[in-house]
Amino acid sequence: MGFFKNLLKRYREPLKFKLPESGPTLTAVSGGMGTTELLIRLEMVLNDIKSKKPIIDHAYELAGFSHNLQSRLLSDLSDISETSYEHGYEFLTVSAAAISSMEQTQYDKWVYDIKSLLADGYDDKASELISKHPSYIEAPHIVNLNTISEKLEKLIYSIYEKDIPILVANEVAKQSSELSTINTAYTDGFQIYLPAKISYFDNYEDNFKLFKIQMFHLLEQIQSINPNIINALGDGIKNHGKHYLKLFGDIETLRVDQTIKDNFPGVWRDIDAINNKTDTPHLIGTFSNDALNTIEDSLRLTTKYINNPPALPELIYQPVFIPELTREAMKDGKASPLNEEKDENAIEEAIADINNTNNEFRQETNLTDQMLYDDDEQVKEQDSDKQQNIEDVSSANQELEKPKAINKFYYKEWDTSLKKYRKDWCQVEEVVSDNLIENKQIETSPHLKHIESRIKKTLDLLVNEQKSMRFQSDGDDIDIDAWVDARSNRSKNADDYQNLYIRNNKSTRNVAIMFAVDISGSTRGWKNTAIKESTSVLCKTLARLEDQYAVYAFSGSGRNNCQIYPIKSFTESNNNKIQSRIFSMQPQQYTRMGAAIRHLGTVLSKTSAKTRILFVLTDGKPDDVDSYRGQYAIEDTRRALNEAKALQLNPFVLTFDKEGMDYLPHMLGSNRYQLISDVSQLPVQISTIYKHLTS
Amino acid sequence: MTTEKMNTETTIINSENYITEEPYYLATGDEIEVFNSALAEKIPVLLKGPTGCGKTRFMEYMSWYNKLPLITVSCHDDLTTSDLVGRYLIQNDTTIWQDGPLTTAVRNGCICYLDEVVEARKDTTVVIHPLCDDRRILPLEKRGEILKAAPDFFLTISYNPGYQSAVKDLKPSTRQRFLSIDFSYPPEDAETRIVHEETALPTEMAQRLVKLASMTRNLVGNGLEEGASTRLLVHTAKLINRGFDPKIACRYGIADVLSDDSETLGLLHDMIETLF
Repeated sequence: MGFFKNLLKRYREPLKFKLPESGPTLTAVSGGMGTTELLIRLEMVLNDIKSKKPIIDHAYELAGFSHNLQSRLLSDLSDISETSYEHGYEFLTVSAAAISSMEQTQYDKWVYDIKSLLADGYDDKASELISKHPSYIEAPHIVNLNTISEKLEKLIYSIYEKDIPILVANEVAKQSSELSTINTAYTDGFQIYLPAKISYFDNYEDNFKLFKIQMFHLLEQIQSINPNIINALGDGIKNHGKHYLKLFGDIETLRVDQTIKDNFPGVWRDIDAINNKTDTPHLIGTFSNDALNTIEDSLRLTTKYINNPPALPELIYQPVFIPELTREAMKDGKASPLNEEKDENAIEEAIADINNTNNEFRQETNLTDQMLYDDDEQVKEQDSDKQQNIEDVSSANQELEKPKAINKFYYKEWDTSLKKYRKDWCQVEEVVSDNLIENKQIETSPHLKHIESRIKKTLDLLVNEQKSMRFQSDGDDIDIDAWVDARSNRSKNADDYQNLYIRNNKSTRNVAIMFAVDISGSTRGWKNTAIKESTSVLCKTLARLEDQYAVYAFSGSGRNNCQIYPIKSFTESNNNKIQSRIFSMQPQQYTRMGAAIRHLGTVLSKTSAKTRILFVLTDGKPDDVDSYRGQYAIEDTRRALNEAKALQLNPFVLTFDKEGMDYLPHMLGSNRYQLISDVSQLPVQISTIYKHLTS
Repeated sequence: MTTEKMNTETTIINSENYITEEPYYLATGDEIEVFNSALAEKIPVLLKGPTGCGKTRFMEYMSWYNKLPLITVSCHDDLTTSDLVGRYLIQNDTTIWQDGPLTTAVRNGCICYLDEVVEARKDTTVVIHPLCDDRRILPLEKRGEILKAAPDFFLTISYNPGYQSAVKDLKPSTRQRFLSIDFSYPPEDAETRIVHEETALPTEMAQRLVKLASMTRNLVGNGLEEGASTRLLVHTAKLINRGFDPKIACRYGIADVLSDDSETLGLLHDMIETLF
């Protein structure tokens, strides 16, 4: 009873938490969760701690935020609480203030750092970082791998036409290899592992160069490594100890430097600059009397000099050579992606040899199983976590009424953190609602009729463009009437006697357009009305153009519950039933945009029209339960839109979101989106854009 | 009302349609032999390949090689049948017939090269069908005349499969009347030689340009619609020869030409930084 009394009291009190007057950077449109829902969600996330700490105050604070911000905070809170409930609670106490005062990128880095510290076991430092959020500003010279990995991966692809994922270096590998933070770059022959961030130099450019140089070294390692080398290294370590591997790494670095100098002069220039900055003389000529061209040469020289090693400084960009990782990765018979053309038989034999000596080698190098995690396993673990999360949310949403599903489809989803598609990850259902409103309830206001006539005028311009054009300066045929006029004009000494032709502008319009309408919960109210009116008027007016058009609405909750509501298919023509469906559209739940775009793109791609347009009408960023928000959601939507482009569909997004400029250029590229500030202008705006897109 | 004047066919006398100087062309396969055989057998030729890979240069070379005049028509989506075949014009109160470029080529025994033919409307391209089989005729509907092609007339069309879409595709009935020569970008060695020969850029620098081009071509579909063409390399090499820093030249000549997207541009600049 005390809880409910307290709750009611809170409702009656004025808002305690106030947003700063300058206006928070991260706030968005209203329409967020209420205090009760927030309280339930916070209790679910914080689990054990809820009985010991008061969380109602914080639920009250968060209630002032938009749905997007609330979702983001809950997601971050959930991630932190997975490691430590105490830290989760500490995060909650400052989260509202932090998200209001920080820039988006700064906030993201702050949360990322908290998570990283917790993952590394630095609980005290994480607490300190949480409490000191007002003074948190990450120095601009620090380069985070997560901000550049995609760019580096594309660079690799541009050179080798192969996908080599770049991942954050495993902490266990760092500790076992007893290396500083910078020198934790390594590879398993299939993927590249780089430090989470580099801050060695006091400027961003040099730290970025360091990442790039490490990547090129590891690429060369991937390209040259083979099972014979791994076996030979195993023998060398057995006979001479671990310093054999160290000397081999030093010599191999010099060899790779030479290769880079020959093949990538720009990267060599960077290496040279970095060495100068660190006062490290580059020693490329050290083995000038010996051939040092291949990895076999490095091995030969290692054996030659193992008892009398030359003085070689450790270079700042020098990656770690961990043959054990490659040995494990090659166990199943795969060749390195950049090494596939080598003799398969030789590789198979060597791999068999590897498998025989595997255990022995592992003991020798003192590596633990922990550092050899399987990427797929990682995915599975995260999948099961997400699944759990979804089930929790699903049970919380059981009360929501489910319309009748008519078809189910499965679509992949892009996980930007793993840089992989999750196969068949989203279940999309096409559902028809039985609760259609009756036609007599559909009001046709004078205001709408006025809009309708305006749209007709806009679209008539398109119709007229299709007709034969007379009085042209050139064309397919002579326009006899024009000629008669011209003769008459000429006799009067008028100028107008040049345009004598008819140009047959035969109907080249062959357009199919798919209107994908977001009916998530945040469109409640006037937005929903505007959307319905626009859709209704468009359906009435588009018929005169003989273009193919379809209208589908989308919403959903969770990856297993992405719902598509067919309003008008390409084969149907506008009628009362369609109008009834349009005016029955009600705001639903969330916006899992990637799945909706994939599904509606597939529907649209089946049409045979010459020009195909996927027109998305939305009010905000993609956002769903089960962590489909923020960067993850934007990247997945971006992928989905790119897939649509690859199908020769032309995606276009019209949004009400005032913050759209923050993410739309990245998501769509230029000229493929438009922001609309005055929703009452939506119907007219759509028709103008439609004309622009299709003519 | 009008008196038709019938003698206005265009005749090539001593025209600019002849290529008098040998254009530089480096054969990368047996395309010259295939073209000459097709010419001898009067089988029209279809050249496929990305933009700037040397299709038009090849046609100039073959025109020079065979000493046949070349009429090139750059097709576009407003190109009508009349634009190709010809039309009546009005002159001094009477109509006169004006041959289009295709009719001129048919009448005078030229090589007619329809560049980027898929850009033209589908109903327009159908007009070439009777010219492409053993009939070798061009019906001039408006004149009620059937024009038989001169013995040396030869038809070549080109298109870029990279642009292939529902909008821009060649009809199978058109496609199947041709021999097809596939022009992809030349191998790296040959392309280096082409850049070097065309611009006198030192071979080592030409090699780096070619490597950059091949990196951009690997990004097609991953942010880029099309990779850097040999033509772009030649432009860039000319800038370098004029004293521009190679990185700056690549930026103006390649990166900024290929994309407007800031992210893709950033990547292209990184690629340039890697090689120069």
